[in-house]
Amino acid sequence: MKPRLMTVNSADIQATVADLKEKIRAAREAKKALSDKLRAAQRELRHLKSEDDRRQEEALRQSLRK
Amino acid sequence: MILVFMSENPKTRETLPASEQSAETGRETAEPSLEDLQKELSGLERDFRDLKERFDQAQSEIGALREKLEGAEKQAAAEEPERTEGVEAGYPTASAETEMTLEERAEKILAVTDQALAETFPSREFKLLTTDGSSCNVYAGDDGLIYKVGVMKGRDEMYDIRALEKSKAMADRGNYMANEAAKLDYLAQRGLAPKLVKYVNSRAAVAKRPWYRKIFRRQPEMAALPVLIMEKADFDPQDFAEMSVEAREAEAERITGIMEKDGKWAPGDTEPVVDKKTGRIIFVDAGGWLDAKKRKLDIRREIRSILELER
Repeated sequence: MKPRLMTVNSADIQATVADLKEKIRAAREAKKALSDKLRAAQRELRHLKSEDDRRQEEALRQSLRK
Repeated sequence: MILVFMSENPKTRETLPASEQSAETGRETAEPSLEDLQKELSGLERDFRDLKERFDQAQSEIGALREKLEGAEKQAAAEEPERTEGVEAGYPTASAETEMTLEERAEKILAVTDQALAETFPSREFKLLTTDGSSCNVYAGDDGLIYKVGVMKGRDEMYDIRALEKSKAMADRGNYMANEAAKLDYLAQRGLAPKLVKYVNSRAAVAKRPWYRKIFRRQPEMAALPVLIMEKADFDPQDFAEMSVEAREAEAERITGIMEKDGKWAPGDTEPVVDKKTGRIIFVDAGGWLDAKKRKLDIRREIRSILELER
């Protein structure tokens, strides 16, 4: 189908586009910051889980020795 | 005024200003439509909500685990108020010098690992890379290799190398690191870790009993503190953060294929990074890989989890 050419008031569209682009930029930044925080939290969680496992094994070994 | 083309596609596409049109073709380059931008924003907001949910869940698990570990620590301290070999022997320890700040304690531990390296490799020079490890300090040698020196941190920390080298804690640390060296060797042979060059066990571990031979079947070398020597991995910590979901999916499949063959190990407290040479994921802390059979771990699931993919 042949495209239909029409004109619209650019000021409103440009303002909306600029507003959306700004919101997208802010949302991307917020997402990246939260991803970094989540990654750090997951690292800490893995570390704590491993420490917990190590202590449980140690406790088991101690109880077997007694 | 700007030009807008309407076609069978209901999306409204605005054109770029003439100044932004392609100079090569002179043709207009379509910008995202309002609808595209709104969709992208909704997608980002949805991703944020998902991340927030996962973050809150992780925070809640961290809180519960911290409470559990601190409770166990307080209970152990109450049961053994006079503990630590160092106190009995008159050596300075963390519990004997509680007035020290964290920085002062880190400095004292660093002096111990510096001394261990100087004694074990007198002709080498070293540059400190990090003291962040929970049980080691990491150095770069002038031979281009990485030296990971095992030491005690936290409740059992001691600041006298002569006391440390005789302690039961250092025997345990040496054998823990022998295990880590064996895992590193295993992973390196499969292209999943930097190559292990040598492992020098702690004298205390070797003197205790030779069960480390079952783990690490090489002629044992000994030193005051255990030292794991490996090749340097070339990576930028940010590369993994920026890896696409598709690339991580592909890597998860590749790594699962390798690790499920033997079914021995699953990743636990370890760090995935992107090797700059190959663009593939490797792991720089092998000590955190766990016995999959003993702990009944689903290798695929754990690999997906560590690569931050939906399970």
